[in-house]
Amino acid sequence: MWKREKKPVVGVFGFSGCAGDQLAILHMEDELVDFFTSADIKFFHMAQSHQEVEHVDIALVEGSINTDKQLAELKEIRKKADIVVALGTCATHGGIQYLGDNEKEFEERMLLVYGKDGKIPEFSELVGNPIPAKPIHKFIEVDFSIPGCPIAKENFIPIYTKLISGLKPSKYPYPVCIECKFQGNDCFLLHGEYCLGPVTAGGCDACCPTFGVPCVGCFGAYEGANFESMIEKLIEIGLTEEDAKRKLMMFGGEATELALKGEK
Amino acid sequence: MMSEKIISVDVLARVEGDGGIQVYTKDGKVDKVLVDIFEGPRMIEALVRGKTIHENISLVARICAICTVSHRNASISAIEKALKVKVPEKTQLLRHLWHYAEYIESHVLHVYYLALPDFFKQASAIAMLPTHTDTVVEAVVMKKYGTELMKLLHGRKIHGENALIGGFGRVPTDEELDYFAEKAVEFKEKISAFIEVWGTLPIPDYCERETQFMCCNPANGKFGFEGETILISTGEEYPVEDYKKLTNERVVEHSYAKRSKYNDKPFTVGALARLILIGDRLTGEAKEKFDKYYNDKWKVNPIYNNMAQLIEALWCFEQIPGLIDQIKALPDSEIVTNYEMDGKGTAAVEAPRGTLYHSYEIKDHKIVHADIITPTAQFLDDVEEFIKTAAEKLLAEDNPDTELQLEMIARAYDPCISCSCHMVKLVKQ
Ligand code: SF4
Ligand code: SF4
Ligand code: SF4
Repeated sequence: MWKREKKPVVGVFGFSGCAGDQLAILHMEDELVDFFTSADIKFFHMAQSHQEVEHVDIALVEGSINTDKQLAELKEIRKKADIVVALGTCATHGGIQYLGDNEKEFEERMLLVYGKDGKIPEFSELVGNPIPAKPIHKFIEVDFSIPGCPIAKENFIPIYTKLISGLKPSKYPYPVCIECKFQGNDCFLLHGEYCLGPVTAGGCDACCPTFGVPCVGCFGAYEGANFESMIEKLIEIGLTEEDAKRKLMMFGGEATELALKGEK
Repeated sequence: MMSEKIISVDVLARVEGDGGIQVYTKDGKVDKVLVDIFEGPRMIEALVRGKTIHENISLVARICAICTVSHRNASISAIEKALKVKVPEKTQLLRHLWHYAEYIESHVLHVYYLALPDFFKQASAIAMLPTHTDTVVEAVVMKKYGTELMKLLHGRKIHGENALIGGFGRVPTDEELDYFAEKAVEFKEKISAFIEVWGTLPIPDYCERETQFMCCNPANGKFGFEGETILISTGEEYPVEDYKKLTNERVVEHSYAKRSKYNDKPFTVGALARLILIGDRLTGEAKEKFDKYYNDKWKVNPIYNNMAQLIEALWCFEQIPGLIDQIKALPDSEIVTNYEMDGKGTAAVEAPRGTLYHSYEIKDHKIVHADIITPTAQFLDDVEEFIKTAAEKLLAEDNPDTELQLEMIARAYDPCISCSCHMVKLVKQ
């Protein structure tokens, strides 16, 4: 019988987000025990305590980076991990809180949310200084990305199984529309209703259109997306260009931002 | 000799979110306690500005994964109030069912997975598998019930898109609902039995002090998780629109979550607050358990929040079969799409962790101003106070388990600060 000599050591780490990707792992009730026993989970704050870690074979990293303290921790994780996997759209694309790099706009937002007497208060070193939210690949080398807000188990399990078996996973190659066709759904766009399936990375089995509601793009930009024709289509069904771009940016992160600026 | 030390729980494990606890001591006395939240600032209220109301509900649900339903629900309610949307009864009842599903998911996750291991000095629920197999398996299947019911109603276990302003995209079939009605009866028995087990666990009493409580006052004197007014343990009652008076949010330097006080004093929200304020309105077996286990200690000891959550989960299981019968008896209805363009509205719902406020100003169906106050932002000051009380006592008796005990208090509150570890240090300076 095939037997691994040693279970790989896995760490699950979380930065800024809603912890939904970690929770999505805990919500895989049928696979939960396998998840915790097929690898040596040394680190998973949301689920367990008493953990210190010197080295991990695989680090699953959730969330975007929005403080200098998180940035230092992320670099620490990179040093300790052989393989770093970005988990969820916040980590892979920046997530809903990705709003670009403009310093002035960033300060306006800080002022709006935390401001007092027209000033942004100082935050202590316990929590670190705020920086605009970014996906983790902006700061460290990332070996593999699993998008999703949150990740879908249909997509996560095959990739994770390969990772802990020492195999190189392959990138999921389709946009949501392909999955939607496999589900046999009627198409929103053909009926003049908005849907972001054509430009959104697949992996969720097109669960929203299958439920009768449009895809809002939560898996982030699909690599082969044709944004130009998506925008044209959205304008054709009655959206303004501004509306179309704003919708594309909701989960689109930096990749979409660059594409919309024509810089990709 | 003067001595200073810090008891530091660098990262709190088994909570949702990134936070830690720092206890600073001087000459054997507790100087100050900081629950620091280093979850970075996501500034959701700023980023939803200029978004449409429909985009808004998808975005704000992402504030918290465990409470995704409460956020989406509160946001939909506030927007519907602002734009005078009247939804049919069936939609209202489906929303109750959706909300109960989240209570089951969240409370089971918290009590079994996050809080229970402390009582057995274990690192996680999974670590308890060899010794407490039945309990762990029961927790997993019961949580699955909650998450599957959430999925049925909003399309995914987390951050589904099916619950919309004006109604639901897809309405579940009678057969799908029947399954959950039947299963609820089964799980009601299970959780009821577990409450008896929980009742035998020793509840630490090192953190007792008086405080204030708040929760929504559901209509018609019933128990439930939403209301137009807020009840306070001082005997006062205010409309939800007065939420700013009740929370007085302020920024502190050791946290990206804001803080609240009422009457200059910290307060508690959540299951414990609800049962203290309106627990006598419970019905059925939940009421029996409440009568059996409720006592004056609940008002001074937050660890009882765990029991309060179990009783609420039992109440939800008891409500579901009847609620499903009511839902099935009503005809399906179209999503309401005809409503006003501008308005202002505030709604409060009880998230599993406590009162959650969403308040919006809307123009041309776009968000002009958003204000969102989470339960965790409201109770963190009280967590610090309880930890201070406990630390004083534990330090005086030189308790070797001080860090664990302090963490138990924080975890009992079930804070939602999105997450992290147990690198507890006692630093002597
Ligand atoms: S990607 Fe989505 S689910 Fe994951 S942490 Fe970010 S907001 Fe939450
Ligand atoms: S409904 Fe949306 S996801 Fe499905 S095929 Fe049409 S555009 Fe693509
Ligand atoms: S269909 Fe679109 S919005 Fe829905 S889960 Fe998939 S990627 Fe996210």
